Amino acid sequence: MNRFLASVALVLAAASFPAGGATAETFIDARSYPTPAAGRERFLALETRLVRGFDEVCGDTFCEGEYHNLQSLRFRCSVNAADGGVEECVWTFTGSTAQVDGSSGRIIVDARSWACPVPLAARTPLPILLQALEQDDPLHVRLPGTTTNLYEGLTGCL
Amino acid sequence: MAGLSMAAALCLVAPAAAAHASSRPYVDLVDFPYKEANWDRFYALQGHLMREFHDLCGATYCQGTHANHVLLQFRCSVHAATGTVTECALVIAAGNLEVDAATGKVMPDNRTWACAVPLAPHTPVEALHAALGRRDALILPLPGTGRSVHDALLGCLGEGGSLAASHRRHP
Repeated sequence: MNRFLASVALVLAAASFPAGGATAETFIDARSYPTPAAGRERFLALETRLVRGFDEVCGDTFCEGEYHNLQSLRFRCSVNAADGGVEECVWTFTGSTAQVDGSSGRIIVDARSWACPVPLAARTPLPILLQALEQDDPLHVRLPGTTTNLYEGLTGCL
Repeated sequence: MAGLSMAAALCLVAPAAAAHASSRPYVDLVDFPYKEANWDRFYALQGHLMREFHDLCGATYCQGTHANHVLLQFRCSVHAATGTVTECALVIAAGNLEVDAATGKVMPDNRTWACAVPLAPHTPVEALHAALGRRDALILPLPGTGRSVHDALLGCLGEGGSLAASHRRHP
């Protein structure tokens, strides 16, 4: 009986280990999923597509505010290495204003950056997310498992 | 965010200050010799510097984890009475995102710099345009100092900005 209980305990411990997020390699950069060779090119192509999509809408939307020179810096996602479920995606931006102080001649710089989380459904499989966004208008495509899109996520962030 | 709104509001109000703008000794290079007179030439110069920075960056600053530096903005102040440049700034940004392997959080590390152009005192506006409008403008020595913009950027981007912290609203 004791041996049986010990075996059950071992099985439970093994089963709960990945879910606990305790290993050092539970999550990896999406560029490395399923392998660096297979994932990198596809993900970076998506990032280029997103940047182009942002640049196309910025002038009439986000870039009409105080920071007219907003630029995308980077887009990255983390995935569960075991099953390819996306844990989180973040898109970063930067922008600035600079004004001359008429009394002193000094230039007053206001440079900012933003880290915008993507409103994903929990554990969206990476291949599903990539496929959904590999469209002509990725900012307005509905994100899998949600009723929202990248554009709406940025509206609340920038 | 409330702080930002307050700062923005302070910049937009004060009509009295706007009314006295023409009597202040310093103006934006865009507004020299009168309001928006230099608009097209200035933004052409800014575009030129952005292209020069982009071309130079890959072999210089754009290496390591922060390899995506962008020149966001170029700005100069002018002493209106003498037509000489007081200071010029280049606003630069870069950012990295790293995945925390244990938690799955995507951790941002964004940086911005405000870097001063190494100008000699009392550089005439025309001399500035001539020097920075050249091909390879960032790596050629500037008149009066013998230093290039590239020389200044090497120090600035490594130190977090060469303009005083008090010049920044969001350091």
